[in-house]
Amino acid sequence: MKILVIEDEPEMMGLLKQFLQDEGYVVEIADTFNSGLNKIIAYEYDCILLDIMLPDGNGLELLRQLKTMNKADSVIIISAKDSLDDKVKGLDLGADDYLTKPFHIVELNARIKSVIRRNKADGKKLLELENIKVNIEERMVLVNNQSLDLNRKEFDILVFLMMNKNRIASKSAIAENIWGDYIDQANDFDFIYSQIKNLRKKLRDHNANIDINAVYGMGYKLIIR
Amino acid sequence: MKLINHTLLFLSAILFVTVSLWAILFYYQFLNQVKITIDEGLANYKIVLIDNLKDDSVLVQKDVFLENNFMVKGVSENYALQVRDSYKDTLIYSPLKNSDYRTRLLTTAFVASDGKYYEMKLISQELDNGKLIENLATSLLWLYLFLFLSTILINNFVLKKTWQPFYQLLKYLDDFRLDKGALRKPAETKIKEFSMLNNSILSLLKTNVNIYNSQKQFIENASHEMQTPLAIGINKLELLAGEKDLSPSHIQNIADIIESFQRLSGLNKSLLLLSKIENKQFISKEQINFDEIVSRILNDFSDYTEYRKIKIKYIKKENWIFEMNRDLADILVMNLVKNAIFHNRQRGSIDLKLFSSGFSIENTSAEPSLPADRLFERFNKHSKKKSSTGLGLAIVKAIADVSGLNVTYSYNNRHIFSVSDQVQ
Repeated sequence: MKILVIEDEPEMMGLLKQFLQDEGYVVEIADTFNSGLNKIIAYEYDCILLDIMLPDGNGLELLRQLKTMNKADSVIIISAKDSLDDKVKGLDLGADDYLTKPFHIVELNARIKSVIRRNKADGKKLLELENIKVNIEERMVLVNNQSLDLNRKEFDILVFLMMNKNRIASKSAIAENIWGDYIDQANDFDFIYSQIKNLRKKLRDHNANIDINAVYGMGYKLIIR
Repeated sequence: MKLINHTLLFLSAILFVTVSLWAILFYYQFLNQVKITIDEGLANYKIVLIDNLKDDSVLVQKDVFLENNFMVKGVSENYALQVRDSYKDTLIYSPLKNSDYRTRLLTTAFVASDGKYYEMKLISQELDNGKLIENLATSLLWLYLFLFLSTILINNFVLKKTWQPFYQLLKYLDDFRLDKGALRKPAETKIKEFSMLNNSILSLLKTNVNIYNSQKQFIENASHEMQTPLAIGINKLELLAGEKDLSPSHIQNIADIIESFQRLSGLNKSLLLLSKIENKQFISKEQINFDEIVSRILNDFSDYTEYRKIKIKYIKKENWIFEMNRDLADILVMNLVKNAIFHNRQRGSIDLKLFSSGFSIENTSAEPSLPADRLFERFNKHSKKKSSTGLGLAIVKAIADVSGLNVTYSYNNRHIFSVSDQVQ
């Protein structure tokens, strides 16, 4: 899996590069409009992370050029601008997703996996981990080939945590992913605990080889038993 | 008072004074002229009379003015010699009319052919001041009315014509919106003063548009510049928390720092939103079905309210449809619902009532009644909750203001926020 990161902020760039390499991706970087454009022309990527505020040009223009080249690369726009106009424009131009800074790193991770999965041509849209198979489109979970009944929130939490296995997903990251941005003021994210508790119980009852651990003060972590 | 009426009032007052002064002067001038003419007549009459009388052998003394309008009286030589022809106004009794009347009196003296001296007094016809004044006043009144009417007409015509550029400029200013992009020029005018005014206003507006744009740019850039380091900080800490060999207290500390960063970021976003609302950057409007928005948002928060054991009652008396921006309507309802939830107490309750002209949301809380006047101010925090930005209600107020809604707070053992499209 190859990912191109187009980002002018060196710290952000280093951070993303490190994180994505840890996740097992091949990462290439570009810190200007022109170097980004050159890379897009020369290579194919599974996913491009695109900052729209670049020193020598607008990332949206880069996106437009990419689409005129008929390339199928998935694009996630990363912008510090929480501007509806830019969001609409970016998605209209064919971006797969739009993420506003600051974001949770696990959220970015989940989004990258989602767009890559969606763009897969072979129809292999299952998310597999140990003895768990999740069909995201049909919202079905199989544990040892036996169906596991989850409610909508439990299902979403499971998918989110599976995409971020072995990483700490903070309570606010989970809340924002499942319940939406508006929950951000809640502070008191303990309300997700009841959903996690039920999910964990169901996983254990079905002898899943994964478990959800609480990380005190931070959130939760999906681990392989 | 309109300018046109203002000048009219002034002009008519000035006209009135001038016409009146002029009338007085004219009256005296005219009277004087009349007297001069009469006096000349009297002088001629005198010559004729003396010619006729001086040869009369017996000059009949006449003591009263009769039909001939003169009287003659014999006087001593000394007296006669000192008499000079004198004209004066006098009142004469008329037995015909049985009243006094005003007339001109010529007193003169002459010597008859027999060498005797006589004094003679002659009077003219009646000099009717009253009638003169009356006639004069009537014609002046007409003149005044005529002048007044023509002033109105001229005023209307001239002022309208002259002030046309001014009204054009007013309309131009009315149509002007700071956020409506390119600045067009006001209509040209040949009048120098108005042209100067146009130029001054144009340059004033240009300055303002520039300041507005740079402020907007500044706010956006500031937000952008702040979000990036915050993003770096948050993400680095998130990765750090995933490192092995961290003690639970380290992780707790990291979590606290992340939370602070997130609050800062939330604050930043709220301020940006507030300035966007106040800058009227949410322009598009549509018919909003509030039943749909309220139901959706209550549902979105249901997990949280269930966890806090807060009972929510949604009472839909009638649906409320109002034309406003969709995003703002969402934020408005969401902030009020959030407010009612987060300031609620465990096992509290929320009643949301939807009417045909608005909605109200009542919540229980451990906090007492709040000062209604300062409640909607920025950073006016009443709760000690860390997560509160103190901007939620300021945003509600800003949305209500730009959308033409009324938002009020009252307290009746429960905190009640009401949003209505009725003008208070």
